[in-house]
Amino acid sequence: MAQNPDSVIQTQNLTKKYGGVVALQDLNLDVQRGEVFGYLGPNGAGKTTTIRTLLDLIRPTSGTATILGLDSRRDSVKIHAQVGFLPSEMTLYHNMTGRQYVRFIERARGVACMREAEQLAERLDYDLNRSLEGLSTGNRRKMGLITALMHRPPLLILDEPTSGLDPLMQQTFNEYIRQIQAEGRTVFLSSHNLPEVEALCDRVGILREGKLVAVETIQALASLRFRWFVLEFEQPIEIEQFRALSNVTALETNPENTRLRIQVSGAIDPVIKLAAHYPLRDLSVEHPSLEETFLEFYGSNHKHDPQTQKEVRA
Amino acid sequence: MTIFRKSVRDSWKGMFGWGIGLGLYALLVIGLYPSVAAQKADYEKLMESYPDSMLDMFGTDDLFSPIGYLQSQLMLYIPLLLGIYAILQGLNAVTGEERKQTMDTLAALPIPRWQILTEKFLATLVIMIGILTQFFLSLVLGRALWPELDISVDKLAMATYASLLPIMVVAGVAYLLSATLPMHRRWGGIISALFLIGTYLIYALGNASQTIEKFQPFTPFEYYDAVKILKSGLPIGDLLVLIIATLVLWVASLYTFEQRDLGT
Repeated sequence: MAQNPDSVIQTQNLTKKYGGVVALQDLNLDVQRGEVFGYLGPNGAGKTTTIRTLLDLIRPTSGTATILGLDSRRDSVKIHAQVGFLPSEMTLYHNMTGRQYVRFIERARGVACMREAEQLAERLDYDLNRSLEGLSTGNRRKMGLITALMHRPPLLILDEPTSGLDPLMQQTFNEYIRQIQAEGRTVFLSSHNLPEVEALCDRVGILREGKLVAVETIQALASLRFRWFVLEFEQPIEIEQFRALSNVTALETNPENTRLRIQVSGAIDPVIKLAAHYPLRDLSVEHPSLEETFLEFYGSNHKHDPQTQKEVRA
Repeated sequence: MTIFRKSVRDSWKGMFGWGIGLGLYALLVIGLYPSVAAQKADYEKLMESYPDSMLDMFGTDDLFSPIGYLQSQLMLYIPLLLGIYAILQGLNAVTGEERKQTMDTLAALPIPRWQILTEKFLATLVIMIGILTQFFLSLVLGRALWPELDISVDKLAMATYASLLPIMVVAGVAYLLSATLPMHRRWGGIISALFLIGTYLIYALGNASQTIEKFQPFTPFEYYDAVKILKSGLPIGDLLVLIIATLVLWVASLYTFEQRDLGT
């Protein structure tokens, strides 16, 4: 694969196996300069494996990766100097304060960035003078974000960045990521959190069982979302009427036909209008997890054409 | 040298704990020497009833001279005791960081892996020198308080600091295991401990058994003889063997650490 000058992350058939277990298979990824790229997938899909391979923490079984035009293996030290990394499990040295930890990372990087760290800490409402021992998950995450961002790297690789942050801090984080993007820097983030991805990312790569099954724009991903409606009626209903609706992608009922669990993709107006013909006792909505969305749209009965980056229902 | 500084800082309590502990033990042993020396004839008569093989294990046939006493009651155990701390240091260097899940942050810094390990290894070296310095100062203090222990300060310094070399061989084994066995701190600990105790026993029993004696050259303790140093100075050839063994283990650690996946 020829190196695209606008590519910040480019992988070619990147594969990682642990014995007979394939953690990542033939990954071909191309993240462009200045974009916020979301990397999605259920637990164990290979997201963290990808990130750790890109950063040369683990070595690929085969294939190559270039980061900022540099080879991920040969030039790992140069890459590390230009990357801000937040690991999925942010563990800190307990015998330090936040300020001492910042100083440690600053010295190791050889870049003075205490002022930036202080500004970040203020934005994230974090006290750098407190001990790192016994921090909550959210505060460990904040500390990790501060040290990942403080040297203003051109590329940020963030593994589940907002996990453990409260909604207000997630909002602050989102604002900061938008600011980074406006500065022309690139963000590669893995997440389970679909609203976060929708709010931040330009494109998403969807990983399943170690394989990249799709790369979509965020608009395309939003159109994939579905919901389950649970409708309980006072009397039996005509199931076939619901089944015939074009937006209905799945349907379950009880033997008496008084309870309907219906999966709707896209507009819900036809479903609500039809349900209104019957005396309705109760209505509730279930939003699927991202994993359910993946399984629904990228399950074994679906194929993905990596050339066109379109998914095809088999 | 950020990682070096941090590693030393992380171990300063251990360094002073071990140093003060060994120092107090040294003072206790030296403090008993005047009474041992006063009853030397009685003790020698008692020892005559002991089998020769048992006496050989102390590495000297003169247990009640200042040098023989210091060897049999103190110097013989220093590499063994500090070897335990060296193992802990070596295991913490890599598998400790992996178990605490701090290795990812460390290895994602713009510092090559070889440098991370080298700085940690140098930190272990400095920590051991720190402990031995406290131990040496205790020997000097003990000698001043109880002049019956008539050994020159420079010989005490040589015997003390030369013990650093077998200790660093043990540290090298622990570093190699730590850098090679991903996350398996328990196995690294077991194998390192077996190496330390096994080679020590071979060295000690080899003095009393011809069968075991032929294996002594494969133990680091064979090349550190405090009696020889206290009597006639540093045996450069022996100490070179230990320096080379340490360097080989360190280079092997760098190689395996460079090759393997971290945190798996």
